[in-house]
Amino acid sequence: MILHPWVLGLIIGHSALLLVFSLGLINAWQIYRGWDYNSTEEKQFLLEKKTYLVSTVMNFALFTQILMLFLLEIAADELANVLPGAMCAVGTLSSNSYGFPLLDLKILSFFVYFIWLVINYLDNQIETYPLVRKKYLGLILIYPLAVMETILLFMFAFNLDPSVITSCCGSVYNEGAEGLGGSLAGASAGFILPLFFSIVTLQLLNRFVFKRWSTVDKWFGNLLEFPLWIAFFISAIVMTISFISIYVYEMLSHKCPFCFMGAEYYYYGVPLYFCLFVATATGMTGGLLGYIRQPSILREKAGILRKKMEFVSLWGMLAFVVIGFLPFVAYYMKTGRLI
Amino acid sequence: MSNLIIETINVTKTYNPGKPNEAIAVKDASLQINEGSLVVLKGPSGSGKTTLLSLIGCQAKPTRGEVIIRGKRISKLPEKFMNRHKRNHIGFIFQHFQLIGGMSVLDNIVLPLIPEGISPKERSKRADRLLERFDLAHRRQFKVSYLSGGEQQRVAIARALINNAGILLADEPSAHLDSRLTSDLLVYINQLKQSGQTILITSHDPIIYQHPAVDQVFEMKDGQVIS
Repeated sequence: MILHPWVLGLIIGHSALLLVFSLGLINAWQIYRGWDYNSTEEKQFLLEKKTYLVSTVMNFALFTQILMLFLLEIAADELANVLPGAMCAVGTLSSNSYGFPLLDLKILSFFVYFIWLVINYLDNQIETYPLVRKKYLGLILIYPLAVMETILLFMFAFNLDPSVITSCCGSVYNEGAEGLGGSLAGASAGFILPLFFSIVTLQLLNRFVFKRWSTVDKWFGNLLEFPLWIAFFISAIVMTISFISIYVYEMLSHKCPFCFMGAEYYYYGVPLYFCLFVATATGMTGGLLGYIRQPSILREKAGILRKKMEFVSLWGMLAFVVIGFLPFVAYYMKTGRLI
Repeated sequence: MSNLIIETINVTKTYNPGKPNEAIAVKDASLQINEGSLVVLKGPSGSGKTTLLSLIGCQAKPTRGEVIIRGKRISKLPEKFMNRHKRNHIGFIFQHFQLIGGMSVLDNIVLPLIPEGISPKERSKRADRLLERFDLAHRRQFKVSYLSGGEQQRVAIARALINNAGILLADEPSAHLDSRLTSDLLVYINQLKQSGQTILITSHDPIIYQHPAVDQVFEMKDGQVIS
């Protein structure tokens, strides 16, 4: 283990959040089991008081957990300075077998927590707590994610060894390299670009055609929305590694999805990933909100929120495309050729 | 035909439940109040009048039971909705008026409108109407701490009326007033009743609960409504 401020910060932060989450879990279980909105007994009033507190605390805890994804990236980048062989966050994350599983889990958690936060927000907009049991059941179900995250973080942190030489991003994201990094880097532009744009076209078709037709088509559109956004996210990541990166670095061999988040590349990756994460999170959550039917006041509020999310996701997706293809266009205009 | 506007069903309020200093302030209190009526809640000090009034006035939540105002189960509302309901439907006159001494009469009166997002122009317009009505127009910019007891009382009433609430609650409004101010107060209250306001007053002052304008008197003892 390296006693670096970032490592200690991540460990303390995750431990504190897990503690808060665990306390939230106990209360969530009590609320889930004992909730009876129509009761006017003392127990129900206590649960109503409790839900206000628990939902506020969990809001804070999950929002902080979401931020932890970005803190992990910054920490990994900082730690690259003390790990031999590491050039950026990739080197730190690949220095032991827990780094990338931790990052993948945190990305998954990001979306799951975001969905919970939106459901919680919606529930707090209505007088009768219509989603209270569902949201606390959700909290109980996502608790293992937080536990797994913390365990993986501990394993990752305790196995950071400055005496072991790690791989740099150039060798991890290399067409010839073994593993997921190599496969992602090896995806050809001829395959990933048509796939990505097919998904974007499907998204637009879904938004402007399917969901504007009859109820059956709307239902179909809602069904399609969630997997489409997952497909969008995955294809966007593959495209970022295999296509966008080479135009940012202007090098065919450098396909790191982390280096361009640094000052050297004017933090290009920050708005790129911001748009990608925001578009995907709001898009998939908006799709889920389409399934809310009862009570009518909840459906109405969910509908308003959904429209906002659809708006954000659509513009987020378009912004991602524009930012993503900016280096390609700039390179082509500058040199008149492709890499 | 009169409509039910306030209803409490077996309302209980316990402070510090389960602790050695547990105190049951209100116990199984049930009452019904019709729209446009003037009702007095009487009883000795410590009988639970103020607590029951604060439960009806959305100042606190019951430990069990139900408070229904205009058909809405307000005791079940989450805090932010309860506050919104309070701002829209209830005007409250506190025992010690609870005015902000360092602020002007106008600013005190318009205070309940600020969270509602009402424009300063509209706030001022509404306040001016009330200042005229309660003969306070000449004191508009005076600091409240410079006013006499009677004037402060009228500012408190104006503040309670500024949000056009249909229900006015007053907690022991005559407790610190002399007999002349109490009779002035009764004149104002009677005028408000005539204008259709529902008024609920807690008092142990016979001048109040024996007043001919009073439609109904509930008596409380040891936290219970006994008649």
